[in-house]
Amino acid sequence: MSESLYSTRLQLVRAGVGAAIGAVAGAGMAMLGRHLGMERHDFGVNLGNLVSVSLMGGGGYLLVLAADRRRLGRMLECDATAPASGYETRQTVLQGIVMILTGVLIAVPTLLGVLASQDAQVRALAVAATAALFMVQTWLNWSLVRGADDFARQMMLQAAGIGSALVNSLLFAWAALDRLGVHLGLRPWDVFVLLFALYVAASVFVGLRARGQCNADPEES
Amino acid sequence: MRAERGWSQGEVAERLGGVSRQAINAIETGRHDPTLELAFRLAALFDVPLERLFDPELASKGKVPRR
Repeated sequence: MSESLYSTRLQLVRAGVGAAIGAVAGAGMAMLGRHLGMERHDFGVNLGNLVSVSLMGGGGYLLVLAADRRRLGRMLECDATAPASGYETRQTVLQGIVMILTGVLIAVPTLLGVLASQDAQVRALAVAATAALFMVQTWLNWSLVRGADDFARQMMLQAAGIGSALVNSLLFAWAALDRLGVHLGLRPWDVFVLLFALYVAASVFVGLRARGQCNADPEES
Repeated sequence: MRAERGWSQGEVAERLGGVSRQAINAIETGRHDPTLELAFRLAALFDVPLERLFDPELASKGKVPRR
């Protein structure tokens, strides 16, 4: 069997396995959602929970990958036999932690909001906990940006650029519709979660597009 | 140039330090223009003048000798 045919079959098998796992996980999440009464929640809460779980899952996946440098090296695609360097591993671990913390940060206002609505003291504690988590997440995120090489920074800038264009467009549409008397009934949390989900989607798009091409012609370098 | 030395992309990244192999791959495949700082570091690593790194004609014909 030729190498390319084997590779295509392997990709198809992986896609099939991924689809099966996705279907089971999706059905499980739907059951869990019904059990937790998510259908009673509004759009912003449900989308926020979905983004939160996705980020925590993605971050956890990166941490599992980074636990084995050889596996991480293969994920980085090029020179697949070479294990990931210390720098690559550190950045991947930091990225994983930042993603998990971001997921937690998005879940916290919704989860603590239920408790905080009962008692002013609990509300103050919830605000303090959210602020503390936000500061830790921001500091780690900044460490990630500072440690990034210029290619990674270029990807971050591209994602930020696409995200910014989307955010501006949607904010304009929302505000303009409101001024024109069309009230969508969106609350601040709904708008934030929607815009953040779009930013995450833009980051995933940029990240996938920037994935390495291992058939680079070394003679050209 | 990298292949002449028998280095992998990961090795180049490791020798430079603070750079991922994805960045090296992106530079080689023309998907990323490095900053001047990284370009100078690459030139120093390969011990060639800066222009030789980016001019495919010079790189392939060897018009500019190594320093």
